[in-house]
Amino acid sequence: MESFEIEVSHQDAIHKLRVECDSEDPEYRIFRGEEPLGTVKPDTEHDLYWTSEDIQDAEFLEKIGDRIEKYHR
Amino acid sequence: MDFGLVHPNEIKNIDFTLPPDGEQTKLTLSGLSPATKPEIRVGCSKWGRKEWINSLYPLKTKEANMLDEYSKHFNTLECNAVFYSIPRPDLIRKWKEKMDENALPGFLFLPKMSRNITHIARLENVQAPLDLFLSAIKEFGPYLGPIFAQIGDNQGPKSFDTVKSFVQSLPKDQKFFMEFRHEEWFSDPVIRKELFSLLAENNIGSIITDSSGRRDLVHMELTTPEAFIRFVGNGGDFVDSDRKRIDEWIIRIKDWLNKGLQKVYFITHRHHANSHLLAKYTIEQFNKHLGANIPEIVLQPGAEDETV
Repeated sequence: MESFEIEVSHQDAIHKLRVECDSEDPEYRIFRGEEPLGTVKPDTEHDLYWTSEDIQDAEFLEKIGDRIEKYHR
Repeated sequence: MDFGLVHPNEIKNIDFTLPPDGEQTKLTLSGLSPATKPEIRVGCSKWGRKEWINSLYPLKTKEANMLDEYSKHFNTLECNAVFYSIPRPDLIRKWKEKMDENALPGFLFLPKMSRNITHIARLENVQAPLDLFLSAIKEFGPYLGPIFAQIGDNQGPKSFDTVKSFVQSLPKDQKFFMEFRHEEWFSDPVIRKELFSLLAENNIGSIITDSSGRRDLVHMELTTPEAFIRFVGNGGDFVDSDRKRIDEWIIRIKDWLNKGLQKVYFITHRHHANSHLLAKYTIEQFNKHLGANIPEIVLQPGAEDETV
């Protein structure tokens, strides 16, 4: 399993999140502490456009995706 | 943590001076003549950037058209989208068709090998996914440049035999580069020599990554007469510093070209969104000092360039 930490600055707060991925399918599970926030997944058709059925705040989702990309850079 | 990121307060204390050439570079360039027509490419690591609308891309550019717009400005792209999963061949064909219509002459994709092979399987028993990946990627046709494999920072020299088997298994009719992250590949002189010799013997290029937080990756070891440089600028208050670092790269690349370097792939990354402006500066300076002959970036009317 791949697990790493990211920090996302959003709405005047720094969100320290844990990211987990344990399969060949790049669906990343996002946690704040022990609390699961949901999963995010890259839609590579348009480069790296991040989608989620759980995280509805589009700006927050985009920032999470950006941090995952930069972790993998 | 973003790769290579350090706190802004620490940046001023970092020595960005490029180290001297490594031993393998001297061997690789030994006996070569200066390249008469070196191929120099400069690009970014992502095209799907909404922040570039009305700066690099025209106002109202749709996501579906951003690759078309990107390829009108740059002659290469580090293609990270294919890292996340093995791409469908029809998707690669679709991108290739966009190049047929829009791309600058000589445009090349530099695909990052899928994580399924490098980070999940860690190079073990990867022939089947590698074949699938290569089969899809070949759909880029004339726009396919070198493929690069990044070996994660948790895979060190203990897996040397695995790395060796993988390197030797790569097809010889395709150019590859490799990037290593684990510190022990660079800290132990014996391992370092073995690694870069292995790459050189198999005609695999070695990526040099120039970021603030991992100066050991600026190893300056060329294993083929081609350089692939991933340059990570800091942006923001450090635009001047980023530009000075680019200027130093120009001096080194010029020296390498005089010694026989044939191809350069220079990719600008930044922790902020404006890597295109860093690329713009890089192209202007490469044209001026290296005779790169790359079309210069023209921003949208009214768009602001960086000032130092």
